[in-house]
Amino acid sequence: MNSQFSRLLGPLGELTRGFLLGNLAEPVLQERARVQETLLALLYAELLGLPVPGRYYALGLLPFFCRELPGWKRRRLAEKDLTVVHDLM
Amino acid sequence: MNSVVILLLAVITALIGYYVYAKYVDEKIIQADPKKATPAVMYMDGVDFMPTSRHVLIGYQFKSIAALGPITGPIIAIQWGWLPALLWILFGVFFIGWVHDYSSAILSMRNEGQSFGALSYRLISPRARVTLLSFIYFYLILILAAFGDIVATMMAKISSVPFAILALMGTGALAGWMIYKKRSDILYTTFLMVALSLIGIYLGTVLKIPGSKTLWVLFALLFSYLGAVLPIWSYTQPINYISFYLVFLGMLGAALGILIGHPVASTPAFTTYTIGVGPLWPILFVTIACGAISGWHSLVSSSGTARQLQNETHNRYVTAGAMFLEMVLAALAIIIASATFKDFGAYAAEMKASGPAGVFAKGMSSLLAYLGIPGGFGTAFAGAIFVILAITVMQLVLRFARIATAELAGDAIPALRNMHLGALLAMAITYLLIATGTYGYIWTLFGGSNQLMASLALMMVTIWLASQKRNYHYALWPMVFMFLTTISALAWTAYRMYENIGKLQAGKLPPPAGQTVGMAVAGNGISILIALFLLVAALILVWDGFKAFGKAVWPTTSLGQGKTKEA
Repeated sequence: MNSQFSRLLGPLGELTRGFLLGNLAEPVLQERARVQETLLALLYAELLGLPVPGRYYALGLLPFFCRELPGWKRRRLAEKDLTVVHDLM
Repeated sequence: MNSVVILLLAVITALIGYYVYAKYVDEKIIQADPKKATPAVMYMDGVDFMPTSRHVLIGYQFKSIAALGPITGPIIAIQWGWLPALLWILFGVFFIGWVHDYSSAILSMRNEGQSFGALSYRLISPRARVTLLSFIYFYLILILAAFGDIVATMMAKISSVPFAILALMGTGALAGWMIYKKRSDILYTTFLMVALSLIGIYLGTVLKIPGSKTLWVLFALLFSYLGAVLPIWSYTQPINYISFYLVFLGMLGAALGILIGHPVASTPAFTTYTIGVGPLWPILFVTIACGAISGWHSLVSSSGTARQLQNETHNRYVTAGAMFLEMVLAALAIIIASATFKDFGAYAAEMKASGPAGVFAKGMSSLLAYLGIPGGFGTAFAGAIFVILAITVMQLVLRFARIATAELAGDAIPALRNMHLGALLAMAITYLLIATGTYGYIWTLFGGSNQLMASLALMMVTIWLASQKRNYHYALWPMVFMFLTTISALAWTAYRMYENIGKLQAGKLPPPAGQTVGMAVAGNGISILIALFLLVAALILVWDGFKAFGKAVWPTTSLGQGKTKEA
């Protein structure tokens, strides 16, 4: 009985979270993405022919940020228009 | 009919629609595959593409699609009688509404999460994308005018509402500062601000602020301007967030009031075929947009939800589920308008005096009275939540409109890329429409632009299904119906306004209150131009869509031999 109750409560809690807090997370996620993209630009500036400030530290950090590259590239190249309402909400 | 029966009918229709029809389409036609990687999984970047729990998503989807549309449309449509309005909501959602939302999401998911702008370019034609953007722009301007008119009429008629709105502006902005800057506990902040807002609504019943409609139009536009130019986290979003709790409390109270009081519909089931704004077909079908089908949902489903679903089989639960929930909300609005007034005359008098907002406020306060909430506070509370729903939508819409202005006209007139100029231009057009236009026709045109977006989404789904050699009939016939209905509604509205100009000039028709003959003629003229633009754009779209459909279905015929534009 207890486990059935918690099985119901879990989805209800998630639904309420999406219902009430969904939009509030957006600015935080956007801000995180902006900060992360600035860091990626600093770390990978050499690929664009720009000098990297703090090259020694950047080299150490590179492996940790490799997996972010495809997402960064996709975001930068993605065509944005009015139909992407998600960005504006 | 008893209001509980209306509510039960909506719930039963939703259950059959979800567990029978939607399940059939999901499993047999679309063949949702739990093993197929979704764009959210393939392209996860933590921002746009992010696998999210389906329970979180349905809450978010419902919040994004259900605002004032599913409430206002049914309240206006009661003028034809509650039965046609209810039937359109039930059958509209059952056969068209959920199909539209669900299919828009699956179309985007099966095409790497592409937005509808890119998909319309690729699936139909390059000019289909431009047409879609123009529909969106007119949709934004007309929704601003329609809601601006509602807000101003309401605030001028019920003087307890303005203070409540000012209080909510203050608590919302304070909530933003506390959540994002002070990093206060969100539960504590929410509880405190909701309580303060309720106190503000109560104080509104004591501190009444009188004002003319023009004053409140300007106030609503200024409020929206701040929302459009300030960072979204600092103003628009927290106000939206806090007001949502009030709306939620109000709707919950109304639902409980129906269950306790179970009032009986006092307005007739059917009044007459033709009312002030037009005949039942096609006008009813654009008057009730969001409660039955809305093009806005396709944008939310394709650019948001489709990029967050972690499994294809979750799509039915999230998109169709949210649409059926919205149907229940629309049924609730029908009850508020049809079962809480003494008779049809009382409803009609309230509609004439303070518009759909007044009907909502009076109707909801009657339902809240079953819970023991005093009428004065109930009316102020219901009025405040209606205005807040409208005004928060206006903030977001003006924000969209300034970006739309920059995108559509920024290349030709670089000054319009400036966010203040873009917002001011949209505000000026809105003010012109409110000051000179007629509310009923503005609402019809808004519904028309919305339904054309929906028709375009269904057209894309049909063409995509045909190109995949799948059964496309479940999307094709709703699309044909929506195109025919909306085009007819726009043509009828344009013709009616043309007639009105003649009557106004001949002195056979008095101008609306507060307008001169010249202003009313100008307002009708502007509305005719908008209707004709939408009409021509829709006809071009039908032609392009027919050619794209021909290429997909009959690739070997002359229709299928044309050059295909690839994005």
